[in-house]
Amino acid sequence: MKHCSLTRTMGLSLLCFATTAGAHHSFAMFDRSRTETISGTVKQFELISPHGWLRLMVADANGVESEWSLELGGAGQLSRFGWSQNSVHTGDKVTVRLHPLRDGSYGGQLVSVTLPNGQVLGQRPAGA
Amino acid sequence: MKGFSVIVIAALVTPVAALAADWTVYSYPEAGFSIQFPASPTVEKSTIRTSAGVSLPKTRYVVRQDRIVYQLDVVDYSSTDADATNTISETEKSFGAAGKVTVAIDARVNRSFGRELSVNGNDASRSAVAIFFVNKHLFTLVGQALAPNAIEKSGDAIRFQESLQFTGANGGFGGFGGFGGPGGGRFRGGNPQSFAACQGKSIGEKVQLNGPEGPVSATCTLFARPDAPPPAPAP
Repeated sequence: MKHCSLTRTMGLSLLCFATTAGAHHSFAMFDRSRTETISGTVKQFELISPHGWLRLMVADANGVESEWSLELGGAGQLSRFGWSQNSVHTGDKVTVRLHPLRDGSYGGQLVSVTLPNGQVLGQRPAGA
Repeated sequence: MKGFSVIVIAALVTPVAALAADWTVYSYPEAGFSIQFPASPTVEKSTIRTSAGVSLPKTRYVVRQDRIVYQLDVVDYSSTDADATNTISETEKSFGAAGKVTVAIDARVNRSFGRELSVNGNDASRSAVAIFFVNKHLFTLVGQALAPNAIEKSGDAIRFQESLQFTGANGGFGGFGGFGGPGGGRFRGGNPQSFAACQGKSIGEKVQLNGPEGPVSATCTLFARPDAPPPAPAP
């Protein structure tokens, strides 16, 4: 019985392990009630765990550029949604939808990115 | 932090590094956490004296770069009866003296709960702060973008804030049969077996772990992740 309970616990833990991929923290600093759109040039794309990062150079109305750091899910999670190391390249002009940081810093949680070829990659399965 | 005096004893520790690019994951299994820095951190050992007069060991992991400082302090409260709520609260208050706290919010890393702050410093800096108390250790993380134009580096400060993970007994996945540690257990981040299995291996490489049901095939990410859940329990 005890062994059975342990096995169930393991099963549950593995289920959580799988379904919470990319959620090692609470995303509390991001205002998930707001979604904003920015466009810019990719400085760096890292498809890594626990979280990927997209660094974007974004120009304001006066042409002054600022660097934005956009957090993604983990590499394993994103690969299931169509992302790969070659999805985004340095120098790509992209448009990003994001949940902004609560304190107004230059960053946010990426919702989706529209690539130069029009392909949209998100952090959920297409259509979800 | 106000009320604390610092006596530097100093030491350098070589971290276990993984992953490339600018930012690198530094794993400290003995301290129960991993974190990302954009350069190899200096590790400084010291002690702090609390307002109650108790001397406690502190380890600081720090990278100082032009216009930004990445710093994690880990204070060992295991010799005290300190509790998480009061210790986190006291630490949070100390940041109020350094500037205006613009965001203060409950936060979670793995299964441990703490606080995250944004502080606009009196010196025109901007700090992203995370405070956690796990397994009788206070973790105070500060990514501080410095003036002038501190906002230009604010994205990096946030990235640092978001990179902290608790591992092993501090709340790791707990491995096979050890789910849940003093830090509350966690789903991911790697237990000692997972770290050991992937030592010196590349991301994507296959390894084998020992589970309660026998060998389990796994793939190295930052740590070994089982490829399939264990068999369903017998009815």
